[in-house]
Amino acid sequence: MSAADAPVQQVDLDVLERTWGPRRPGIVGWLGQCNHKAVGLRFIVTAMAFFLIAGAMALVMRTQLAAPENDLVSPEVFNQLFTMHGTLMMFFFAVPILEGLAIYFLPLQLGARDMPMPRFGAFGYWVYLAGGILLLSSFFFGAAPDGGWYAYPPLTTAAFSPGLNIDLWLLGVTLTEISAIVAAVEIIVLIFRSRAPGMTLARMPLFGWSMLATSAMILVAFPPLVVTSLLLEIERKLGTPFFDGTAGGDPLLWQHLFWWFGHPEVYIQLLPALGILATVIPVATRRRLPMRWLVVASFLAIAIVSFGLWVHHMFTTGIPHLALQFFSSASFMIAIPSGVIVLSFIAAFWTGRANFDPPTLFAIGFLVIFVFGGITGVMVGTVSFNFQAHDTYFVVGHFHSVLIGGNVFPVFAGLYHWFPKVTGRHVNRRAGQASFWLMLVGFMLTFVPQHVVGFLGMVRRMWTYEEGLGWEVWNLASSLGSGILGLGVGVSVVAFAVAWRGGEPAGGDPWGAPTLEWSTASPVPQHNFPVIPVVASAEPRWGPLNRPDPVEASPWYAALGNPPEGQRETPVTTPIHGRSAAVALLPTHSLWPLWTTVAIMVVLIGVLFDLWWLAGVGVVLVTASLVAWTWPAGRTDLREADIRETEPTPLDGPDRGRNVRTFRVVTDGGRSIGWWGTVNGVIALGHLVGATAVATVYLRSRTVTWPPTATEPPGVTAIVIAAGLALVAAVSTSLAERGTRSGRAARPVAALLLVLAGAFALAGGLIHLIVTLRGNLPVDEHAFWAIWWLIGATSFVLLVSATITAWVTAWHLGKRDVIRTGHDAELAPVRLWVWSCAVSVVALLAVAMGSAVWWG
Amino acid sequence: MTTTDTARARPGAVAITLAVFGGTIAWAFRFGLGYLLVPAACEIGDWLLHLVTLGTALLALAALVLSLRWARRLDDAPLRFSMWFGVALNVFFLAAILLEGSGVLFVDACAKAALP
Ligand code: HEM
Ligand SMILES: [Cu+2]
Repeated sequence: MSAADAPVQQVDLDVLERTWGPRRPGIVGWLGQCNHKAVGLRFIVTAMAFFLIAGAMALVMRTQLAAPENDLVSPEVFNQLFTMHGTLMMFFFAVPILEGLAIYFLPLQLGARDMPMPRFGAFGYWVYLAGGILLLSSFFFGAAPDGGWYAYPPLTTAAFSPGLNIDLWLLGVTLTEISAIVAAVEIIVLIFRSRAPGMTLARMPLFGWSMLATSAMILVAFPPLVVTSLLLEIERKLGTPFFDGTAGGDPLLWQHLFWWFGHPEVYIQLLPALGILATVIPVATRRRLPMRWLVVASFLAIAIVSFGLWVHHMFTTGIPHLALQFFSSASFMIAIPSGVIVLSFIAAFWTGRANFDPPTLFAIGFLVIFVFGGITGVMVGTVSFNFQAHDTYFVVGHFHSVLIGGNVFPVFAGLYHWFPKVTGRHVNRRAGQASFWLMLVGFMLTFVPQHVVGFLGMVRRMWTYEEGLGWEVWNLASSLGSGILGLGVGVSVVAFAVAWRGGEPAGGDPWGAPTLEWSTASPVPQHNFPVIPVVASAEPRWGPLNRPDPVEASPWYAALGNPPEGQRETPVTTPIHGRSAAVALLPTHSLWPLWTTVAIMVVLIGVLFDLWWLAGVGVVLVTASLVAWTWPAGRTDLREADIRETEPTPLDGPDRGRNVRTFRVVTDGGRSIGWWGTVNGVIALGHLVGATAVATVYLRSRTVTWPPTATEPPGVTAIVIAAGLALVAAVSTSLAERGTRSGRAARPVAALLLVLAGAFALAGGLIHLIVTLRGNLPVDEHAFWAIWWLIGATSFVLLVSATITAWVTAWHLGKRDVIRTGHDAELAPVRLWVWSCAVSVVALLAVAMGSAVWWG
Repeated sequence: MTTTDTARARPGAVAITLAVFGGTIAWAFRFGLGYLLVPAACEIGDWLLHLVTLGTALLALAALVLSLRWARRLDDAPLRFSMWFGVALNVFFLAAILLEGSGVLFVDACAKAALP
């Protein structure tokens, strides 16, 4: 079964390096890079910058609280500080840094050349940056958000928070949510289709498993927050009373949707961090992780149960006690898989031979702090205790333990572990150790006293406090501790900066690590690996069966010969078993992801300043840049001739029984990449639509007067016809897809069908637009009308997106070099998307109409 | 690895999914139904929630037995791995169902309170 005696591929490294390197010189080349290392590093550096900014805000808050009746900052500024600190930490640091680490290192660990959708990935970064800029720009307007990191209405509605601050918060946060969804889609496709040959799912590194669980969670958890943020933004702009209890709305709707996202969010910040530790600890202890498969099962169990906890943030909102008890029990249950993972890590230290390098120390720091935070977590998960501790400093102490222990320390472990891979240089070991001790001691001194002062009655978000309450000493200790913690972070930052250019050179594998990223040079060459490695175990670089440097090419890939210069080829493997299945051509340099983001910003600026014409211009720009982005230029497969000339040879190894002819080269749109990406996009869309439907049903169930009057909403017949048109559009994409399967002759027919599909969808969309605009719905009087209006607007947007997809694909069909005969799958993505839009439109309509007659 | 060396019949994809994730699915049902039915239980009685717990617990138990049997019998290594995986998940979610369901014995379904 070994591939060892397969022909070793002769590779021309220079050609590979040129092929995968930047395509243009200078700043344009730099901006247009879509390579996973460029994008990943940008995420990491930007997230660290936000971490430092948010940390500085924390230090200002702690200085203010160091002594009673201090007036370093005003109460207004204090509100802005904790809001911005919490928001930057949760949305702009903790999740993005993990995405950055995953985008940089996961392709390397899995033996891939790049992320499967590099331009999409670049877009994810630009959107994230745009969100951050939007949020921080609030300081220039003197309107920093001040509604807390979970922005509860009614405080955050236009009546109580006039001005731009909350608008900037809502739009900035929505942009990072979109960025996270983009990254999640890409990572899922990477994991299922880009693992090196022979890497079965069971052999996938644990960091990959943790990212798989995390990405799936993002697809389920983030769309509802996007929905609820947009609802609040619309309420602020148009007065639609979604969250107004006096007009058919309900402020608790926000809390439900927010925490449906918000609790999984903290596990989204934890799981990848556990994956990093599962990478670092085997290296630190020189042994494979004990109970590996139980750890994987625990990742999945955590990911699932985390969706059954959201109400534990709402224990004090008047929900029946028995229902609270269910959420409380689920909160206890999640301690079990967390405990399994912690025990596995402890067992590794117990039975291995641990060193005391900085990554090891930070891993130990995780164990100490996270266990502490887990125990206080079980305490606040208990309903009766929660009633006492809710909104006190005990809670502040608790969540900083799990966030700093469960996210910051593992991230630092990962940064110290992978730094040599990125830069080819070592960070000063003593500096790392000093930083660790400062951070550990600083953490303890900052946050342990907060638990005590919480018991003494100090509530969170307090600007200052009186003398004589017995809080002084605890607060002073906490403030001193935060200084030490900040110093510790500073030492690391300086150490990284110094080592970037001046550190001692590190070889390809300074740690003797088991995973594939250490099989290539440091810093990593543009093409990642000279040849795609073959994997035979979960620790490809350890153990007798495995090659310390798995440089043998997969036999079929070797038989294909070197790719032509300039062609970015990456093998595509099967989802479960990791067998070679195809070769995908990846796109290179592109500025369109950046322009699309700029166009989105134009829309948002128009919305923020009520410049509706500007928003309109922006929408046109977004559409134009999306079309330009997907323009089928320059994706010619230079290799087809080679393949045709290759003699079919029976192959050994993972590809036994197949021959070269059966491997086809897939450009964009094939079932391998585009289809998988679309499926994940559809899952996200499903949760967007689902959240809207849930909001409707929830408001209906809480409101007696629904609909408020007996009059029928205007244009019902027209809307039903529009839904029918949407379905017709979907059917014609199915017909088109079937047409292409039967060969070349059908291509013009298929293109025509797609043009028709687009036309039907557009007609349906326009009906929705006209009915919505002309209906003169009293959207600011009752939530029912607001929902009705919302569903019309959503349907319009969905149907226009279906139109654009269908028409752009119809255009693609005319391009011979993209669609090749005999490929049945090119139209599968467009069919899937148009169907999803159509079904969403029908479902939303059914929910809106159903809510009107239900109990009616 | 060729596909011909599995002599014994393999379970189908649906059966595999149910054996591995049956407990998970059962838990999701107990959780969602339990939450939604509390007001109804306040009106007609706790037995409603006990019924939900019992039904979903049996489902999880069935998935557990199935995954355990297949984990011991199947000779396809990746599939056996998935089954052990399923055993762990099923045990966990069965325990979750029983723990959450037992709350009904102790807490009044009509009790409600909010902080002033
Ligand atoms: C570097 C050390 C840190 C210090 C000294 C610190 C300090 C603080 C302080 C003083 C507050 C305000 C508490 C209040 O007035 O209620 C706060 C709130 C908060 N912090 Fe931190 N923090 C740190 C790190 C982090 C990290 C790493 C995260 C998340 C990854 C985080 C997330 C939050 C959140 C979510 C809030 C709540 C904001 C709100 O009430 O809306 N913090 N922190
Ligand atoms: Cu929570």
